[in-house]
Amino acid sequence: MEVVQVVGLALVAVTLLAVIRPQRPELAVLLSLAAGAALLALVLARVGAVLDLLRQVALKANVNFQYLTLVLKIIGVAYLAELGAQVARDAGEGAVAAKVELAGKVIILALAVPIFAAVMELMLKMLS
Amino acid sequence: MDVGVIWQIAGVGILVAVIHGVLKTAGRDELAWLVTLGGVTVVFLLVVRLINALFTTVRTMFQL
Repeated sequence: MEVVQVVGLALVAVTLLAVIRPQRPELAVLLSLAAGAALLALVLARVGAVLDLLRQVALKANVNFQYLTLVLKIIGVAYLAELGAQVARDAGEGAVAAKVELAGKVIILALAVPIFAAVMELMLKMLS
Repeated sequence: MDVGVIWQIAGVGILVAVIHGVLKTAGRDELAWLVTLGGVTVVFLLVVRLINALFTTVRTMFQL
């Protein structure tokens, strides 16, 4: 039962944060970051199982593996950017959080450019 | 490892808060500030290790 673990960890972390935050706000930021990392690490094993299944399905359906890898990369970038932005927002730095989100969007756009180019090429081929 | 780190960080936080208060009432302001800095550094090292593990996992899983 991973749900019990996750909720228990979150409850412990929130209680400790409530104790620490008024006295040491800088340590509270680090504690919330550690709690977030621990929670993500708990769930990531399950994500790995789902990704393996996706890979098997893609192999059976003869989908180009390059595209699946790209989608996975985009999910990873979104995941990490979200984590960074939330930590920054939690520390009260909304401006930094907005920049992290913007950077994540730009990187995802740059990753998606090859697919977009392929679609454009296909369309041009169909037109001519 | 996961829950232990949380307890460690919280313990360091409470300890640092108490020591900071004691030193401040004793009139040793600069020492209190140093204790705070040391606590933050120790916790930061712990968190960096955790974050490094998380980043490595994400990087291998999503092939970043």
